[in-house]
Amino acid sequence: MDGMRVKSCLSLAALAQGREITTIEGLAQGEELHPLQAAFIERDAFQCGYCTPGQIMSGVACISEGHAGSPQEIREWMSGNLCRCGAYDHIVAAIQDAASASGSVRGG
Amino acid sequence: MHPFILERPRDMPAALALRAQAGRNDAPAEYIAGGTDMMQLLQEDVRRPDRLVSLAGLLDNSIEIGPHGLRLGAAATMAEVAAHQGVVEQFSLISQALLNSASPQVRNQATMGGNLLQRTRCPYFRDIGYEACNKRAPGSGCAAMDGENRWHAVLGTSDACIAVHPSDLAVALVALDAAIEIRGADGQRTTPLADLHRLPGGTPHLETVLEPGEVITAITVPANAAGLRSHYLKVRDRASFEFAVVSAAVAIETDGSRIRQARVALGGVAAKPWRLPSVERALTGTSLDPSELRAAAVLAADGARGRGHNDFKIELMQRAIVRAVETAGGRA
Repeated sequence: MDGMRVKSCLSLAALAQGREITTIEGLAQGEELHPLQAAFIERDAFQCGYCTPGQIMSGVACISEGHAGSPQEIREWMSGNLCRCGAYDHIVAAIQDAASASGSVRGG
Repeated sequence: MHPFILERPRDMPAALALRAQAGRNDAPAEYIAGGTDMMQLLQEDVRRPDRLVSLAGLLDNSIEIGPHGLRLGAAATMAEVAAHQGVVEQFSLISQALLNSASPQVRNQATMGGNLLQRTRCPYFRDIGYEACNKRAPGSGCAAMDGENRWHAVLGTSDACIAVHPSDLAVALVALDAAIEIRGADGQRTTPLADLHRLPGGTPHLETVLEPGEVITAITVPANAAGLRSHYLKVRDRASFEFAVVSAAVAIETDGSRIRQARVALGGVAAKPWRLPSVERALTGTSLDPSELRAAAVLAADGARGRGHNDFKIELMQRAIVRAVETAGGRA
């Protein structure tokens, strides 16, 4: 929302009036996946897929905030997204891939 | 979820007027700001307000550092305060506590005022399937007393309630002598943050000294709390995104290897942030030698009482103090 990651389950839609909202559906450019979406497929970063939209939206923010500098940093700044299948190693790898592909780990 | 009307008043006087009709707890009207705690309480049916009065856009969200110290507008988010350069440099303890709280998403939404007023994580309070909760339903009993009470309080408890206040921020702020500015229908007042939360006694449903309808508008931290060597140690059941089992907020000033002054507060052990003046006095003038620190930390257990599963906290909190002082002093 307005460029920051937030939890939709803790937000009232009526209070989001007039705010800019991006969801997982708005991440791809037409048929071209967002680099982190592509990295999730490449790295097999999901199993049941239930948590995946949240993981990817949070991962995009983690990279743009500049918090994807190391696996340890990624784990801390992705800690609000739980994966009951336990795909964490692959999720961290996908975020590392997308962060280095974006050319700036501390990107904006 | 109980149906409610969302009110969006255009200014604070209108918000205060809307809320004034309500009682202190379980009221027909409640404020909502960041909403990260209120939404959970609504979803779990713990709170059933008929009206939600939104404070969005009505409260100050500025962060200022000046000759009088630090001032945090009540609507500043946890993420904004944690990343503020002046806070990081001069009031590091606050930034540390915030970065150890919740998750990045929640920190983007949750506000300073709401953080101080979040409700306990006691599972019996948050699950209406349990009838006995003196905090939720006064006089109904306490399911935690003989239940799963590993997370519960060991200091300042009563036979009516052993719930813990879950904020990390509040523990750091109390250690730094913070005060809060409060606005109500009758005007404004200021009170030490250490006086905000009440101990349960026989009335655990009365959690703060706020009168019905009053709003926290700002937090202030005096300038003499700036620049201290500090450490916020949070002991929890997983590495991140978890509430404290025990936490220790420590800020010290050293003179060589001696402690010239110390401020110590504990979290996870009481219904309020637990400042420890006796430990602070004992630390003053001592070295950073572990045995001397241990002798001071023992005083934290004065009056502590476990209820079974949480007995371990009495020892753990003393060790947390020692570790936090060592770390603040650069020894651990």
